[in-house]
Amino acid sequence: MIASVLCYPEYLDLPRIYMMFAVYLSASLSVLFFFLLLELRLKRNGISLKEFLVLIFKKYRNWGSYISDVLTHRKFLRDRKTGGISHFFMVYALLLSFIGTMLVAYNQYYDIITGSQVFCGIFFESYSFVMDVVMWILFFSSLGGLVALYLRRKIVPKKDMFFNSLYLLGFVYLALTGALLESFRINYLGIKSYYFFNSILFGFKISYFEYLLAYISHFELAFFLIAIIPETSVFHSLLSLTNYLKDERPSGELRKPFDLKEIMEKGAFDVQVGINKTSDIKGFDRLELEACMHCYRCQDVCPAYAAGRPLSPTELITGLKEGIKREEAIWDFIQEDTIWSCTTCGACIEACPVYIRHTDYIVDSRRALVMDMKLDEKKNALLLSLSSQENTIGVPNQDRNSWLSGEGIKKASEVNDVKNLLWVGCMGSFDPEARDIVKNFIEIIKKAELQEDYAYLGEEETCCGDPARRIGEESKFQDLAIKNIELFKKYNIKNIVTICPHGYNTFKNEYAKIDPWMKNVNVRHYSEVIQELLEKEKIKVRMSEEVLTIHDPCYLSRHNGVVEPQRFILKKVGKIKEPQHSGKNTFCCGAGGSSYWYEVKENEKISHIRFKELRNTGASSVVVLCPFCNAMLNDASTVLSDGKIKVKDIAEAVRDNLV
Amino acid sequence: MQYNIFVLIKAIYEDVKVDPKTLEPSTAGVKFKMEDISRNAVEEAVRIKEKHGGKALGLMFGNEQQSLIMREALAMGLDEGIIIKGYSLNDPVYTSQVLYEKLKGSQWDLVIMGYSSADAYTAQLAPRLSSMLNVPLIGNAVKLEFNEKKVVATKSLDEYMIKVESDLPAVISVAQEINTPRIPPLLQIMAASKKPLKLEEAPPGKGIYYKVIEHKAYVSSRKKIIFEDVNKGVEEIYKVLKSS
Repeated sequence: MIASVLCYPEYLDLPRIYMMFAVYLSASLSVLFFFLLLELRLKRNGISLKEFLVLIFKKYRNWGSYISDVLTHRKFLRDRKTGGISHFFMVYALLLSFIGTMLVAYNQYYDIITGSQVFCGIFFESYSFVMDVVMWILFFSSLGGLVALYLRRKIVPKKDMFFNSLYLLGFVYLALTGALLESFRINYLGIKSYYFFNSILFGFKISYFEYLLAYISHFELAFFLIAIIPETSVFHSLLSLTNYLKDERPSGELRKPFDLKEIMEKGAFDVQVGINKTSDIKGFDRLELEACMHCYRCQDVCPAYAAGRPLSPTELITGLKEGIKREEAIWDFIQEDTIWSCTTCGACIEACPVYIRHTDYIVDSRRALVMDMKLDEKKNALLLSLSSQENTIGVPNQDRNSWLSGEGIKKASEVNDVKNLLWVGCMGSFDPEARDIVKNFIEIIKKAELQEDYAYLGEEETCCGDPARRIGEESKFQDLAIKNIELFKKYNIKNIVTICPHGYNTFKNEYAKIDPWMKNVNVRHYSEVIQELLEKEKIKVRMSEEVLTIHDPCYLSRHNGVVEPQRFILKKVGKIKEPQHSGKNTFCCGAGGSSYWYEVKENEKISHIRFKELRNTGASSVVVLCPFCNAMLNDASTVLSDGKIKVKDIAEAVRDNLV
Repeated sequence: MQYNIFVLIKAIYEDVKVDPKTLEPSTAGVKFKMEDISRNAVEEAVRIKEKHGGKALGLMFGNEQQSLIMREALAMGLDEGIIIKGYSLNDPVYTSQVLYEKLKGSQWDLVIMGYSSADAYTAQLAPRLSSMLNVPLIGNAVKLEFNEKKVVATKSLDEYMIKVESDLPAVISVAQEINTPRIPPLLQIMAASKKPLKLEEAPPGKGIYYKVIEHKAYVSSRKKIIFEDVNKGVEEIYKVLKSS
């Protein structure tokens, strides 16, 4: 066997034909069982194998971004680094082992066809070296995984615990037997150049019989572990892909459970809305929940959890994941206040490595409570205000914008062509502080001499529908959206500018699903407009001595990725000190998801937690870009700093420094 | 035991606009809403039905364009709605006659209504109907409990609560504190269009036992004094407060 050039000795002294037969038979059985078990698992969730494969292959265009997420392990490495690093190394070790195995197979075919091998000399030795390293990475990362699993033992269901441990121990066994096999071959071949490294890793010798046992158990275990994947928790690896592909909505866009127009046309009002019992969760949504591996990343970033509200997104999802195995009302294991605790800030969605959209289930549960009319007084007051006044503040709508008449811009009904519609919003219309935001923005527009390009709706303006949708009143949301779109069409609106990120998000992401006409409407947040005015030098600002920190709104920065305009603008007027959570990784003020209108029992206000973090930057002013954040943080500042730390809106920060 | 209930529902104007020149209210284009305490009455009727069984019917003296209000009540859980057309003005004498004509020919254990409506505040309907129908009256109830053919009601008086027992049938008016009414989502209101809603003609009769002489918003004129100088302002405000 000792040739002048060493080649890869796969079946070292073993009967080659028998071994190949055994390996390929096992491999075929493994694949067969994999698909059988896959079909079984899918069937339990009401999905056919075809549907599953169609989903995966039809959306191949989105694979790229998914694979890049997996390769960078972006979501794993952001929080919970210990577990994340273990997972990172384990996935890479498995991936490289897979590639290594494929190379071996290639080598064999090449040998059979041409009678010579490609795996020889330095190529073989370096391959062998890489695989040794990979094996040790697999060994240690699997041990790390076992530790991480042990730490989560209280929440991980028994079945998942069993399979996770089985796989991790299996990996340990594969790594060790792999090392033994390698050790035997190296010793057998007597590779001196390589021996030094190998002896450090694995110095001891094994008998031929032990070699045979290790060899057979190694590949049989590997094929066994592949075969049973679909019936085990390790299936999350594939489910994360289907979760990623099944829905292309931006995180700020909620699901549309029915089409109100269609319902009205058909008169078929008897639709099942929301989740009341576990059987209301169907198909790929069940698989979405089953992908959860209880890693707690969502709980770590949840503002409601941080505030001591009765919501742990992890426990909510695991509760549902276990719940769907039984047929029962979700309210048997979920408190109503759990689902009301959520501000729909989306931090959980952003953190989840397997792309679970927690807020979908939360809002769906709310939808069921709304349909059953099981809301408390404060939430009812919002519903009543929406249905009777069509605004969220509970006061007559007809005078909502009369205060704007002297501010210098006209109503849409007074101009021929509305270039930009300034959507004032409920807060902008009724809240005195938010009115100042609107006034300051108009000042800036006037300074740029663009007041002729803007118009507002006045008494025709109503609620944008965001709170209606997020409290779970989907029918009112769609009703408002239909009416608003009719209004936009009437004035042939092509551009909308909002001061509120909630209106911005709902117009930009949700309205097009109500009426595709909205796809042609360009929606901008006023910070984007101010940035443009500065870039085009329509307005100029002076630098001040002020130290500013930025509170990024969830619905602007996390859900819609708008993080740059505010930094561009504020760099020109002061010194920016970023808080711990900023940009896409911001922390909620506590008002989102209709939470502004009701209260949930908590240990500390979410706004206070956020304000303290902003205060810790040492900045003298907190700059906000949302009328709700403005209200929440202003209150927090009054309580926690006697109002000494100024909470100001970005329009104010710009207006104060206009030159 | 099951109870057959009639709930009296009133539709009132949402927000009446006031003409700034004449100070007269303008109702043109103003929507109707379910009167506030009527909502509590509907809620209570639905709760009794849910607990004890039976039928809860909505009864309104109103107009066809107020059908949406009745549908809202149906969405809350009433079984049927009846609108007697021909309502024109607040007139408890006439309204009670119209409703009496309807109720006297029907089978019921309870007539429930809000103790007073949020637009006229006459609080006359319950006592008038009780006297006309010759059944006991329980006014301003904040809690109702049922025991076979009897109802035990807790009434809220100015400084204390009083518990009374009455035989059924009875006329009961409820206070706003009795419950938190459920709010039906739009989809449920639409779905309620499948429930029976009958429109009936008012029995022949005269209305309007009184004449409205004037209907005007009150003027609250403010002095609109703004002090730019804080010290001077504090002094002035102190003087005003001291003198009053």
